[in-house]
Amino acid sequence: MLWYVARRLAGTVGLLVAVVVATFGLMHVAPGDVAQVLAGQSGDPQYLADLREQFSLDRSLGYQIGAYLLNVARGDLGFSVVQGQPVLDAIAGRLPATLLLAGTSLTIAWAGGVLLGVLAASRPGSRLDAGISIVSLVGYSIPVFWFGQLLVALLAVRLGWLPAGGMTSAGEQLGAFERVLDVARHLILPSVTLGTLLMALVIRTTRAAMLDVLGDDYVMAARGRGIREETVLLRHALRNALRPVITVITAELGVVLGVMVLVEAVFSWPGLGTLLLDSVLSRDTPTLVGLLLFSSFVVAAANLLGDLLYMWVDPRVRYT
Amino acid sequence: MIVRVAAMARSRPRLLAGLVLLAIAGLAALAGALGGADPFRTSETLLTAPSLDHPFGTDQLGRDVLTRVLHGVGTSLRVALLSALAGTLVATALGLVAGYAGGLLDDLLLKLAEVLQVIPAFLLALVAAAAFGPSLLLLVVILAVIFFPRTFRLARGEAIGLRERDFVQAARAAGAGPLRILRRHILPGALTIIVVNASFQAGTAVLIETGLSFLGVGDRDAVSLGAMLADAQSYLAQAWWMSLFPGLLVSVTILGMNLLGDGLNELREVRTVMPGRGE
Repeated sequence: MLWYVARRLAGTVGLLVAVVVATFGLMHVAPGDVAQVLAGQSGDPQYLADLREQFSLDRSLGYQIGAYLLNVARGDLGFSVVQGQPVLDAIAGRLPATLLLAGTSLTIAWAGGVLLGVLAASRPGSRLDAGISIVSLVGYSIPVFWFGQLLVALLAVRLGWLPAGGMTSAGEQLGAFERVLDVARHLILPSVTLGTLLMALVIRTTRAAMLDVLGDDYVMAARGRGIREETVLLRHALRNALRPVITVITAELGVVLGVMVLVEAVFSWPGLGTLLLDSVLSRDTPTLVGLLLFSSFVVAAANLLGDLLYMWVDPRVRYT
Repeated sequence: MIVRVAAMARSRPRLLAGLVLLAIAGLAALAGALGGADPFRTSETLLTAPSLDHPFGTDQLGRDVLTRVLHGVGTSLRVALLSALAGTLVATALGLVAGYAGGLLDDLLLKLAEVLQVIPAFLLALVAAAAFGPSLLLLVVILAVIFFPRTFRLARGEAIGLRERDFVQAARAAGAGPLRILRRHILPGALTIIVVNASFQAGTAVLIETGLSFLGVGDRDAVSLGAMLADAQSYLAQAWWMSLFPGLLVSVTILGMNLLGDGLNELREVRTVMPGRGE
């Protein structure tokens, strides 16, 4: 068990090194660099050269990657000139907003998705099942930025019930309690947008996994012993069906991070997504590489965590 | 014909619905390509509501939304088809060979797939599109790379699963070479799951194409439904038609591809494969 975790951790470090090399290589072969952005279109050649030297852009690619990896090992992701602060600080500053949005959305997705998935699977082929399946397929297919836009157009612009974007109301002096309420009001639309997409995914997986498990002998045995249907569904079947659901959600974390950028863009949510978009548009390589590395780390960690959760949910699974 | 469609609607509703939605998207793209109207032509009539002259209204530069939507669907379909096709061909070929032959090539490609799988796909596409300057060709290449791990693993898994089966061993004993075995005996067994997968990937391709354009890093020379929705974002209060029609068409296209994938998957009559996940 411990050996397994250690091996997986080592593998994860190797993966992240590969991500750094790949990202650096990508930015290296791409035309233009941050020095050009800073110096401007008609930049003085001497100033440009100075800037390149300052950021080691005149050194070889191998040198740059090596230096970066050493710094990362020391917990330093470099300095972003565009942001005017260390990359790690920029990421840490935006992380709470993203975590708040992701956490709320995932809660909505899990609570609603497992419930609807179990409901659909409890009566396969019924109207209810067909309805839930269609809703989840549509929810999965509608682009998240358009769905967000529709919600803004209807609930914020037309009806004026909720704020259209941002995380706080600007320029108002609020007490602590009002501040929490204010953020909560801003949180509703983005988290419903993201939560709906994720819920569609959870519904689909839960339904498929439940149907798979419901055909098993032990479920029939439980029913044969006269155990109540709800107990069979929730205590016997769901526990085993959760395994694939966990895998899908952890495997889809990369998708969630990508979609996050779009949701944050629609709602001007001040999280990592907007930071990434800003750094893309300003060719802020240190922040870009830092963010890609950070999100790859999150995905790899989630995969590992998912496998460990597996063992907890299903004691039959043992890794060596 | 009508009887057969009715029978299909009963037995395979998803497949039929998917084909209908994709036909709508295809016809729209065709109308845009053959219609001859210029999607970039501006006019004096800014932000006008849908009318007989402009059935879908006009945008903030006075461009006809209907014309732009038709061209935008064409862009999405082109990107989706090309990337799903290119990605599927390359990854399937490599996956089958790697799975069948094993060895160093298999190890290397598997590692590559692992690395690509931890980098969030949309972020990779965003960074690459921004770094190299947006172009549709580049986007197709990036998407094909993004799709590689999943298709590769599918094809590889099928090849490993079929490698030791009796009919393959019989073919080998009869003196068939590895290429012949792959083509005649292993590829047919892997084909359905790969087509299902390609169908979902085409839907993902449309999402990523419109998503990148929505964020402003799409190809400016092509009309994109994503870019239209980005324009619409600033005029939600005045011009709902700028958001509604492009959004509907993107959704119809993606839903069509996902329904097609679901429907084809039902034909395999095994439990549902999730779109967009590994293994």
